[in-house]
Amino acid sequence: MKIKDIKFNLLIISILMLITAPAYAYLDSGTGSVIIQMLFAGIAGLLAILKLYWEKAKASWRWFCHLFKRKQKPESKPVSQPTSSLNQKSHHDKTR
Amino acid sequence: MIKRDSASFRDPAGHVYWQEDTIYRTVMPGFAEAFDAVRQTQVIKNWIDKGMLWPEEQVPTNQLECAQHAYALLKHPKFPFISYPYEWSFAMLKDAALFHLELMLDALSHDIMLNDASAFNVQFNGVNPVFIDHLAFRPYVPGEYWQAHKQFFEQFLNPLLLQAYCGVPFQGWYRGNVNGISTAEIAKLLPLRCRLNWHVFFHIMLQAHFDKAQRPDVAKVAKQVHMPKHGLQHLWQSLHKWISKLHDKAPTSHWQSYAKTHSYENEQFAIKKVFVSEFIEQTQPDLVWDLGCNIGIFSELALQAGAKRVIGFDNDHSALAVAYETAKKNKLAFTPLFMDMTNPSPAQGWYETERLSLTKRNKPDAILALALVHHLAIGANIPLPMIVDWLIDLAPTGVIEFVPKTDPMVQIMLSQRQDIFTDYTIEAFINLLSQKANIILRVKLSESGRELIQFRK
Repeated sequence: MKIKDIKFNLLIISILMLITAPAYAYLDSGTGSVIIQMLFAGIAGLLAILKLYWEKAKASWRWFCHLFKRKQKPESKPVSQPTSSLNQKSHHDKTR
Repeated sequence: MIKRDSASFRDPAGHVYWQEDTIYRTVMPGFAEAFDAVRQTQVIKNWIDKGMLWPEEQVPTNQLECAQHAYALLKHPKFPFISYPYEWSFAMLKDAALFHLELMLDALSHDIMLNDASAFNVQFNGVNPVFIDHLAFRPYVPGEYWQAHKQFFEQFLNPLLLQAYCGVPFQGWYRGNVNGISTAEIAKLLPLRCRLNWHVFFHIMLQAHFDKAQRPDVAKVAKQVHMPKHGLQHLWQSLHKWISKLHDKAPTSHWQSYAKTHSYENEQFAIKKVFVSEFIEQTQPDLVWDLGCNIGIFSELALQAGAKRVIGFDNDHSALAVAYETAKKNKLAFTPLFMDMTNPSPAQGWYETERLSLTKRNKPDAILALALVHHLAIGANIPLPMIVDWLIDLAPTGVIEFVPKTDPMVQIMLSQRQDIFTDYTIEAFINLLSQKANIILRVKLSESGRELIQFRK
């Protein structure tokens, strides 16, 4: 989803824009119908923004953790050996 | 002779005309720009190839006398059988709603918008939904709202909610109010536990609340605040997800397990099957009406024996649900419809011609009326001569199964009421039938006196 679209969503309910959408008069769209669509677009937009910021927050956290891990790496390097039971099993299987 | 379709008048984009078995559709100059823009894409052709849209062919306007002032003229093959949403089962209306949403989503991905959301624009070719309004498509205008939102709810969603949440079949109400069920009305009926459902609260209760307000300033705001394209897509996807989870809550009946619980011995059932198969093989009908089709056993048999298409009618919702599922599973040219044969769909709508009565739409080449007559005569007090007239008037040939008073099923019906049916005998029935048609074959089906009768006018 583009950030431009999301910004539009935030503006939907409160800000009147100069763009005029053409009216197709063949069908009568009820008051409730129009308000529901506005609200839906607004809520969908808000959720999209929250999701975007959540993704950003997660990415920042991962970056922070990555930095931290880098500092730890030199100390833990000599200890890192394949010790899991899965690895042992697969190694054992290969030797059969 | 050229005849304008009595339902084609609301949309000024064009009109539908009939000439014998060919359908023509004029495209009026006011819709020319939108028509050309949509036809320049390959979308229409793709939908026709996929069977989602009924075929069209553009022909010169001079092919039709009354199309001289039209911008363009489309020619369509005749649709096999036009049915109305109030004749569909729950599962059929649900499939039609999902199909309409999928079509709108696909159209919008090509920057095409549908003008309306009329359930009458979806028809069933066998059990496959097909869209039949070729002038419903126009270019999408960025920022526009879904003008047909209210109509979609009234004609698709609200009737489904009535059956899914209240357990009340929608057909009677839908037939009474041919434009569907309004959101304000369904909001009053939904039980409290349903109102706590997010979809119901947001789409139904809030919409009904805002509808009451009737604020003209909302329309002004809507002209200035635009609806993003992905907002429309999310809305339709959300409705699709909701509708696909709706289930029929109408009470079930014993007829749905007819295949296991019918009153025939295996041998009698086999005789009945052979009789029907041989009749279809001899007559080779294009269109068969199975009156009281139940779960569609004999409709399927008729197709296997050579009938090109079967329309089934029954007033039992559970049996129709089974018939529709079987037809879908086996990909049959069979459309099971809801119909009370003592009160078939009438002519209604504008000028009483917008929606045609059942027999004005089409008539079959052959009928199957298996174990139906006793329901009409004893269950609904319709005199035998009237039943015979009605059956003979429907089709030139057919098979009737007569169930006499001595049969256990009729005994059960009579046990709950006074026997006022002194004329209800096989002799009287045969006498009446032979006055109007030739009796080709009679076979006694059971010791209780059931008979299969083949007739031809």
